[in-house]
Amino acid sequence: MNDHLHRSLRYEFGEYIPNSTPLNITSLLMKAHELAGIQSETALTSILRVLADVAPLWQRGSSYWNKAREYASEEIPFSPSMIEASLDVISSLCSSLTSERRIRADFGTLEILDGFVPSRSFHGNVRAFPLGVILHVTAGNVFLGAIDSLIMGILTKNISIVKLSSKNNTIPYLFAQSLCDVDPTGVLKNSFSLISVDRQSEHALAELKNGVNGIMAWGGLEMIKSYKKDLNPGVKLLEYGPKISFQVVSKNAWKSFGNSKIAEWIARDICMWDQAACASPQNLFIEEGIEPQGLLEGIVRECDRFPLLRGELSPDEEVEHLKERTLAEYHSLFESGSYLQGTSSLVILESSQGIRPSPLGRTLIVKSFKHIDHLALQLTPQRSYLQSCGYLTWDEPVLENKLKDKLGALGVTRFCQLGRVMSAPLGTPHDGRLSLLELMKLIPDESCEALDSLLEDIDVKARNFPTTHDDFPNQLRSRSLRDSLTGYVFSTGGTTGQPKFACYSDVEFDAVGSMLARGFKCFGIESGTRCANLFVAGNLWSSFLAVDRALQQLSALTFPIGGSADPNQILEYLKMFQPTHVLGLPTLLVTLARLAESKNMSLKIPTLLFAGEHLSVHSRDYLTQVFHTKTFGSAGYASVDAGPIGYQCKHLAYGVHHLFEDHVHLDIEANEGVVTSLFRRSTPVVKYKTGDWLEWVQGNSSCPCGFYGKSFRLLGRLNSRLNLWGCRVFIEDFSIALADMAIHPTFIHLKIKSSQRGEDLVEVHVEGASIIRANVEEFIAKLLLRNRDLNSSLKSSDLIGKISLFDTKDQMLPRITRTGKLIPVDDLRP
Amino acid sequence: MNMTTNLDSIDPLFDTDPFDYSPQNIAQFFSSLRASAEINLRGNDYLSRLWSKHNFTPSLIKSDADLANMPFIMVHLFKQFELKSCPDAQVALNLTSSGTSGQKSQIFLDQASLARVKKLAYQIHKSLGMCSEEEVHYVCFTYDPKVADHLGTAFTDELLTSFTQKSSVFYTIQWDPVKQDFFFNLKETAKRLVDLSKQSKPVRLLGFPAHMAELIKKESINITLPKNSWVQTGGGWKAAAEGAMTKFEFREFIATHLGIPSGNNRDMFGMVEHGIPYCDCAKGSLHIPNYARVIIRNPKSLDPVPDGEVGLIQFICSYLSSYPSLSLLTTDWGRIGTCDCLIGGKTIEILGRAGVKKHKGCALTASKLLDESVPQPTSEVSS
Repeated sequence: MNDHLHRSLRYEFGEYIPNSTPLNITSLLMKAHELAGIQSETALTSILRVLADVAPLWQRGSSYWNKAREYASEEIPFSPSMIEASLDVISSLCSSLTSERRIRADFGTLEILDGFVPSRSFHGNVRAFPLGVILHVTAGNVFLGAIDSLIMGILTKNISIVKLSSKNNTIPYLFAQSLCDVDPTGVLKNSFSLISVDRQSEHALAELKNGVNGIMAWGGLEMIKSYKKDLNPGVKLLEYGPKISFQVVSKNAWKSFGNSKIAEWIARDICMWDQAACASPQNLFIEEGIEPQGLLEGIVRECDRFPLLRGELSPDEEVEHLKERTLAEYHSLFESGSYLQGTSSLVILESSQGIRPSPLGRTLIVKSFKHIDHLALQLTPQRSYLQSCGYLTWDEPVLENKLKDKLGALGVTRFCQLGRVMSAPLGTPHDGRLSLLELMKLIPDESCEALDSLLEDIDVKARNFPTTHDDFPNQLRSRSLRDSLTGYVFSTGGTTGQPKFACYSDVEFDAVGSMLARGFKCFGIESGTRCANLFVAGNLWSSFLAVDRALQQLSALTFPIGGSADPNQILEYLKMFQPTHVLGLPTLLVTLARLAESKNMSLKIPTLLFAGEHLSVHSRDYLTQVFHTKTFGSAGYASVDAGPIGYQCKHLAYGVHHLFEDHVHLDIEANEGVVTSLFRRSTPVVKYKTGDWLEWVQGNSSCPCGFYGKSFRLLGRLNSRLNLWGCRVFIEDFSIALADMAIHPTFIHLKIKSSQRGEDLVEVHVEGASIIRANVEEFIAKLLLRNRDLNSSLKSSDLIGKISLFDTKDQMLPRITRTGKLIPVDDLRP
Repeated sequence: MNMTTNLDSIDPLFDTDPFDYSPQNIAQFFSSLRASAEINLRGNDYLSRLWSKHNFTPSLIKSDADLANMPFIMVHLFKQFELKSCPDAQVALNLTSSGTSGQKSQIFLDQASLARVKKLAYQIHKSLGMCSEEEVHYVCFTYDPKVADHLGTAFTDELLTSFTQKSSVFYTIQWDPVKQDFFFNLKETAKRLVDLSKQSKPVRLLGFPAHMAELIKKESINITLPKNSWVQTGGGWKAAAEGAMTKFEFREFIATHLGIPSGNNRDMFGMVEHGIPYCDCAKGSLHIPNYARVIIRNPKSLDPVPDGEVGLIQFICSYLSSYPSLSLLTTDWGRIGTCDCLIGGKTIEILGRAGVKKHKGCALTASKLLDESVPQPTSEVSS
C-alpha cells in the first residue's frame, strides 16, 4: 500500500477498501462474527510468532519507524524526541517476551488460551475463550493506545474493530501494513479492521457498539458517556478513563532525599507524554513541614532539563494554561499561594484543599496535607476518578501502610514509587483490572478428572499411594504414556536412596515458579533485580530450573551461573556482575566464601537465599564476614516430588515458613511433614513423607508480609536425629558444643561406629576449623550441657573414649557427587 | 487633553454618539475610563493589588497605546470569585452569566452602573437604527417571566423590548402545568406568527437563532411579517451546533420564511461581565463603539496582535463603578477588522470559544469535572 493511500482507504480484515465505498456496519459486523469462530481456534504460538515477526520491523531506524516518525511529527503534538521514545515502544509491545509476560500475568499460564488446564482455584479444568468481537475506541492524541489496544485484542484471539479518530490515524495503518508484511497466511491480518466513523452518524455508532461483544473505550468522559448510553446489556464495556493521578511526598522522605532528587522524580512523572496519560500526576501532595519553595524551584528546573522536550501547546491549550496562571497570580496576590513558570512547565502552590485537575502540558498543582486522613479527605470528592498514586516515604512503614490502605479503599487503583509512574511493570492491573483477562471468558469444566476425584478414589488414610514413578524409565516405554506427557522429568536425587522420577507439566512447573517467586519477592527480588542462580543445573535436577522460572516471572535480571561451574569462574562472575541476590546451596556458598577469602577477593552479596541444606549459624557468620551479607533467607522449602511447600519472608524466624495452602495440604505426623499436592497431576503426590522434621507455629495466622494462614518450622532432616547411647541426640548438638568452645567449623560430619561391645563410637570430623588440639573432655562436658537427654542419663566419664575429634582438609568431607551436598552422617552401625 | 481624573466624568461619555470617533469623544472615553478605574481600584482589593503589581495607575491611561499595558482580569476569575467594587448595600442588580461551560459569573451593578448600561444599550441600538416610536409585537424565544420569574429573563426582555413601544409580548417557552415543566410551544408560536403576519404592526423576534430555525423548520412556516419587522438574535447556536448556519445563511433563511429583509436581521454579541452590546450593522459587522476598546492578544506571549490576526479578545470599558471588569480578558477568539458601511470605526469578529473543549486523552480535565459536579444553568441571565 502506498503510504499516503490510507487517507482514502480503510482496512477491513486484511483488505484495503476505498473510503469512497461507504462503510457498511451491518456487513462489517457479520464478517467479524464469522471470523471470531475461526480466530478463537488459532494456536497462541502462531499468534505470538507473527507478532514477534513484526517487532523488528518497528525497531528504531527501521523503515516503518522512520515513516511513522515523519507522519507523527505532522499529526501528534508531542516533541520529536517524545515521538521517537513512543515509537520505540511498538517493537517492544510485539516481542514474544512481552506478549508471554502479559498473558502469564493475567492468566498464570499460556496454555489456558489454547485448551482446558487444571484450575488453581477449584478441582477441575478451565479455559479462557475470547469475548468474540471487540470494538476499540481509542484516544486521538495517543497513537500508542490504539496499537496497544489492538495487540490486546490479538493476544486474546478476539476479532478487533479499531475505531480511529479522524486525525492521527496514520500510525495504526502503518502498523496494519507491517502485520500484513509478515503474515502471508492471515493468522492475524484477517483478525482486525481499522475504521473511522463520523461522530455525527449516531445511527452507525449505535449499530456498531451494540453489535459487538465488548468495547474497550480509552478516553475522556464525554466519549465514555456516549458509549455507555443505550448500550445493550450483553455488550461488555471496558472503560479506561477519565482518570486523575497524583503524587505524595512525606516529610521524612523529603528530609532524607532532599529537594533535588525528589524534584527529579516528580519531573520525570509529569514530563512523560506531556502529562496526557491517565497515570500522569496532576497534583502533588506534600506533608506539612516540607518547605515548598526549594522543591518547586527544583521541579521547574528538572522539567526544563528533562531530555524529552514538551510538544508545542495549541492555542487552546495556551488559554487553559493562561487561566491557570492568572488564577495562581490571584492567589499569590493574596499570599494564599505562589507559582513558578519554567520554559516548559508551570508549578503552582495552593493553600486551598482538595485534588483538582490541572490543564496538563506539564502543569503541577502542589497542595499540602497534615496526615493520611486529611489527604484522603482531600481526594474524596474525586474518588471515582482516582488512578495512580506515586508516593515517596522513608522508613515510615506505619504511614506507608496507612496511605495504601486508606487510599486504596478510597478508590486509588495503583500505587508506585515516585518517579516510576510511567514504568508500570508488564502485567500489572490497569484501573484495577487485568485487561487481557477482561477480554476473555473463563470457562470451567467441572466434570473432568481432577484431584478431588483422585482423592476420592484413593483412601489416603488407609494406605500410602505410590508418590513417584519408581519405575518411570520402564513406564516411559509405553507409547500411550510417552505421547501424553509434556513438560519435565526430574530425578528426586540421591540422599534418600535410589533415584526416583517425577513428571511436571508446563502448567505445573509454571505454578512452581510462581510459588517460589512469591517467596523471592519477600526478599526484595523484583523487576530488574540482579540475581545469580547458583543452584546445580542438569542431572535431571529441578532446583536450577525452578529458581530460573521464578526469577523469570519476577522479571529479575538473572545470571544463570549454576552451581557446577568452576568456583573460580563463579567468583569472577559475581565480581563482574555484582548481583544483589545470590541463590544456592549452603555448601557451595561456603566453599565460594573460602575461596574468595584465600584469594583476598572483596565481594559484596547483600542477600543470600539458600535451600537444600541446613545453613549453620557458623556458616552464616562466616558468609557475613566474607560477603558482607545482610540478609539470609530460605529460597523456599520444597521437595522435588511435591514442589514448593512453604516460603519465607523477612518477618519470619530462622526455619519458619509460610505454607502454600492453596497448593499443598500438609500434615505433621510424628514430627514428620506429610504432604498431598493439590496441583500436581502429572505425578500425583498423596500423603508423601518428606523425611523432614517439622512443627506447626502456633499463634497469629497473619503476617506483616500480607500472608494469612498456617506457618511451620523446619527443624531439619529426620535423619539428623540420632539415637546414640540410648539418647536422642541431634547433629546440631555437636556443632553447638564446638561453638561453646569457640570453635567454628563450616561443616561437620559424624561417623558412627559400634565397638566390639556394641557401644556407640562417634567420630566428629570438621572442615574449616581445627579441633585436633581441642580438649575432648571439655567437648563432652559442653555436649552434655547442650542435650537434655544426655545430661540426665550420662556422666562425662561415660563418654570418654567414645567421642573423638578430627580435622579434615577443605572439601574432604564426604559429599554427594552430583549435587555437592554434604553427607552429614555416616552411620556404620550394624 | 485634560489628564486629571474627575470621578463624575464617567457619565458624559454615554451622552455621545457611540459611533462618533471624534477626538473629543475619544478624549471623553479616556476620561471616563480613568474615572471608572479610580473607583474600581478604590473599591476592589484584588484589582488594586493587581495594578500595583504591574505598576499601573489610572493616570497612565492617556491613549489607545497605553491600553496594551493596562492590567486585565481574565473572565474565569469572575466565575471563581465574587468580585465587586461597591458595598453590598449599593448593589441594585445582581446578574449571573449563562455559564455554558458549567461555571457562572456573578455581576454586581450599582444604580449608576445599571443606568449607564441601559443608556449605552439604547444609544447603540438607536445609532444602528434599531429604535423606533412605533408599537411593536414582540415574540421572545425565552421563558415566560410570569411563571419563570426566578430565572430572571425580565432584565433582558425589558431592555431589548424597550427600544420601541410595546403592543404585545409573547413568550415561546411556556409552562406545562401537567408535566410541571417548561416546553417550547411550537404550535402556539407558529400560530402567533401566522396571526401576526395578518395584521399591520411590525413584529420583533428576540432570542436564540437555533430556536427560531427549529420552529420554522418543524412547523414549516412560510409567511411575510409586516414591514419594519426585525429579528434580533444573540447567544449563538450553542448545543444546536449540528443545524448551525452562518450568519448570512440565517439571514437568507429568515428572509425566505418570514419575509424579514436581511438588513433587519441583527445578531448581537454580549457578555454579562462586559455590558457593551456589539450589534450587527445592516451588513452584518459588529462595530466597536467608542464606549469600549478591544485588544486582541496572542495567548502565549499575551502581546497585542495586529488588526486582522486572530487572538484572545480583551474588552475595555468604563461604564462600571461597582464591578472591576473594566479590562477583561475573555476566553473567546476574535479578530479586529473593518466594514465598508457608513458607521466607520473598527469591527470585531467573534470566532468562538477558546480553551480545550474536547479533551482526547484519558486524563481528567477541569471542564469535564465541572460538567459532572455542577448542575447546568437553565437561564441566560438571572437577577
